[in-house]
Parts: sequence; structure tokens; C-alpha cells
Amino acid sequence: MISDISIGQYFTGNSFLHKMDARMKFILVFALLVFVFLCKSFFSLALMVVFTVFAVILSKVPFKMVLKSIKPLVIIILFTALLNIFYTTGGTTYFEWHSLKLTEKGINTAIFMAVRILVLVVISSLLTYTTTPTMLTDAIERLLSPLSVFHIKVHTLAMMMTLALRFIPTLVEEIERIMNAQKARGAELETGGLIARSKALVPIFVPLMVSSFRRAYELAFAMTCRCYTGGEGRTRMKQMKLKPRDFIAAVFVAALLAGVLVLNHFFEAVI
Amino acid sequence: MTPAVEVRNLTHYYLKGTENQVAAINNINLSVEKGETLGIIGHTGSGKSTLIAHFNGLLKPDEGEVLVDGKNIFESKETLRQSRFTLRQSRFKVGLCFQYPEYQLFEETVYKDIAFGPKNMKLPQEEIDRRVLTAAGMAGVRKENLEKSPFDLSGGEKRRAAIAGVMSMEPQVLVLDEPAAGLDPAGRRELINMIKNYRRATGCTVIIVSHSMEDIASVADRVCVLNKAEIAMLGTPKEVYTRDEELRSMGLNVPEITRIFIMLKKRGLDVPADVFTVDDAVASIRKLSERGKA
Repeated sequence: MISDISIGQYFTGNSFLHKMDARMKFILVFALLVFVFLCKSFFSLALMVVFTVFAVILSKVPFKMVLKSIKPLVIIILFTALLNIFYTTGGTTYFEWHSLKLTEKGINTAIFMAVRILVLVVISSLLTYTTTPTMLTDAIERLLSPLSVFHIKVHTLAMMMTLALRFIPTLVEEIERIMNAQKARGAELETGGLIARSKALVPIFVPLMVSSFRRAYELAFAMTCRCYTGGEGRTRMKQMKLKPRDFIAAVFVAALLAGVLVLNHFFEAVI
Repeated sequence: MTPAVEVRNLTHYYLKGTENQVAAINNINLSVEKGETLGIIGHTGSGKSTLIAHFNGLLKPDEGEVLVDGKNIFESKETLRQSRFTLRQSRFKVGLCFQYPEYQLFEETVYKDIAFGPKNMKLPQEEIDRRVLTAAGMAGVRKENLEKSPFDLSGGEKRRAAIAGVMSMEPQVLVLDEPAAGLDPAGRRELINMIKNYRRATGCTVIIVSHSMEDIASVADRVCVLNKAEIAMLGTPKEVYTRDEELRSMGLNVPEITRIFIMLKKRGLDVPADVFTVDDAVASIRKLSERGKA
């Protein structure tokens, strides 16, 4: 069903990671993603894995939830691993069949790539698990605010993002409602060829568009009524403040970078 | 006689399989006779809308079965289709009209929108034309509006056009979910009269979901009260509305006029407690005053 889509999946909690400043989290997650690509040897990657597991434990998000975020990507991970296994060659050859060659280097690269993607996914999903969408867009707004020098309206962009996120569940609900109403009038949505099916979408999308515009007008009106005039001179109820724990995290991540670089230097590179 | 719609031990869960699983409707047994008008009343979240979405197979029961015209609609794909329409008899079985049906309008003209259902039934053009005009007449869609865009109509007119869109399929059972929600008193009255006329003209089974006691009282033969996913009461309006205290504990109200009469009775006046409409009230007060004179 469409309602299974979960975007901005936030896991309510009160852990160290939850309490961190969203801006710092954003920057650190970005840095960590870069570190993952800096890893050259299995040892440096292993350090990243250990750190990731540590971060998951620290966030108190259940492992089951984390696995759920990996689930949709399993096919992609397997696919990249499979490609790498056969397309990278070098080292001892274990098995050969026509042009396909299974080599030591191929296997190493495949494992390396798979683990790398896993770490990337888990780290970035930790960000959304421990930060509410509102906090996240707030952080983006603050981080991008230097761009206003170039007359880019950062606040407006952030507001649009917040609103878009907010209305996803509403629209999903709306689509389901309209689909049911048209099905009750005998619309066939699940049968027929491509043309018949795309034609069947008209009775769904016209009402959806109409009500989206109606909603947009109503929302704009409601915001105007509450004196919303954009970002200028707007203050916040929740001030973002960097606390000691944010600096501790930053130092920790910096130490991690050092560790990755040292391990890269002393051990053999896989890729 | 086989009932028009029957549900047996019907249960439907929301968020099934998660920790938050709740029964939206729990072990419901209900049968609706042919030609009857049944009112379904309940507090918000009592399971009314979930229940009616089972009548034409939009929702699948987790337990129990749904019989339309004596046939289990989930028996096969074919029976499920037939619950929406039977091609051979070109007769729609259960026509479901959702809450705020005006949000389903999409065609260029009102006429085309009303014709959407019959067209899906693959009826010949003359038959479609006949049905559109009949349904438009019954639902009170004015002739000059038929060629207008549905988005140019007023709220009440849109509502009527959307209801006509369901009526034009000439269902054996017409299910209306909160047909009068959001209309002004005049629009409400018109709508209730429209439903009454429809019944008189077609003799079809009508099921109305509402939380307005007044509306239900004036049209329904029987009333089914849902509370916390279960049927709390089932009977004629008279049987149900005299259980004033119980209804209130479920967050429902008896019609205002009934409450006045119940209070009058408590104060020792010799009036009946089963008055649901103002007309009845006037009549019984007249009777009382005539008796007083005599």
C-alpha cells in the first residue's frame, strides 16, 4: 500500500544523539559520509563500522528499526556486490568460466563496497531517526543562510521543504480516499494495458490537483492571517544553541578521521 | 427473503500486525432488508466508515464475511466485481457515496461526471443518457448546470452532482456516508427530502451514515448505533431514541425535540417520549391542548 511509505521517519527518544544540535549533526553526518569514502583498507573501514555500531547504540534506536531502513536497499547492495565481484580482477583467480573471472581482488572489492553502502545508509538514517523533520529543515536553513548574500531566499526554501514534508501523509490519505470513491463508481484501476491504466489515472489526479490547490490557498491564507511575511525579522521559539556535547561529538569525529587516515597509511589498500 | 446486505462476525483491524493494532470494527452482525432505510449512527471513530467500506469490498474483512444479495462477495474475484456491478443485469449492487463526495468530481462537465459510473458499466449510450437525466432529476441537479464545469458549482450543488454520480448507476443498495455534512440547514433539509424522494421513486435499500440524530430520525426505518467498534443498539428510531441516557454516555445526543419532550414528561406532562420531529411534536401538543379543553 502507499501508506507504507515512511519519509522523515523519526524515532522518539531522548538519547545523546537526539539531544545534539541538529546543525552539528548535519555537518558531522556529512563529514562521516566523506570519511567512508576516504577509507582505503579493510581496517579503516572496520573502524567506521565500529563507530557506526557505537552510534546506533548511543542513539537507543532499536536495531530492528535500523535494519528496516536497510531493507529496501538490499537489492541495490547485492547488485553492486555482484557487479564488483566479476568486473574487478586481480590477485589469485579462484574460478573462471568464459569471460567471467572470480578473483581475490574481485571478492575483496565486492565485500568492501557492500559494507561501505551499508555504513552510508545506517549513518544517514540515524540522522533522520534522531532528528525531527522540523529540526532538520531548521538546521538546513541556518546552515544555508550565508547564501542569502546571493539573494537566495533561504528561509522560503526551508519553509517550502517543511511544508512539503508535512503534506506527504495528507496527500497519501487523500489519494486513497479518491481512489476508493472512484472504485466505488466502477473505475478499474488495476486492470488493462498501459494506455487504459494511465487513462484510469485521470479521475484520480484531477481531484487530487484540485484539492491540493485548495489546500495550498487555505494554508497560505491561514499563514497570512497569522502575520507570516517570510523570513525577515522572524525570531524562533526554539533557539539553536551549541552545547558542550556537540563539541565532544565533533572532537570524537575528528579523532575518527585521524584513525581512518592512520589505518589507511599503515595497511594495504583494497581499492 | 434474502437480505440486501448482511455481515456476519465482521472484524477489521487497523495497523494489523503492529503493536498498535486496534479493531476498527469488532464482531459486527447486521442484516439490512431489501427496501429498508437503515441509519448508522456513531461517535467519530466508532467504525461507521470502516463498516460501510466493506459493503462493496473496498476493504477486506480480517474476520467474518460480507453477503450481498445472499452471496459472499469475497468468494472470488468475480463475486467481488459483481458486488460493484453485474454486467449481465447491468445493475449496480452497492453504490457507495463517500463523505464529501464533491471531491471526487473530475470531468469537464457535470453531465460527463454523472455519466462516469454508467460508462464504466459499459452501458449503451441511450441508456447512459436516460440514467444521467433521471439521476440528475432525483438528486436535484438543475438542467442548466449539466453542461457547466463541476468546479463552477456552489458547494451544495457540487454535493448533489456527486450524489447523482452514484445514483446514476442505479444501485440496489445506496450507501451514503454523512451526506449532509458541512451543508447549511436549508441544504440539509433539501438533501434529506431528496433521499426520501429517491426511496419513494425507486424502492431501493438505503443506508445512511450520520451523526446527526435529527436527519436519521426523519428518514430511517431502523437505526444502528455503533460505539467503540461494536453495535451498541439496533432497532426502530423509537426503540433507540428512548434510551436517552445510554446514548449520551456514548457521546451522542437524541434529537433536541425529543429531549424537550423527555424533560416535559419528567415534569409530569402527559406527552409521549418518542417524538423525533418538530411536526410530530406540534401534533402531539395540539392533541394535548385539545384534551385540556375538553
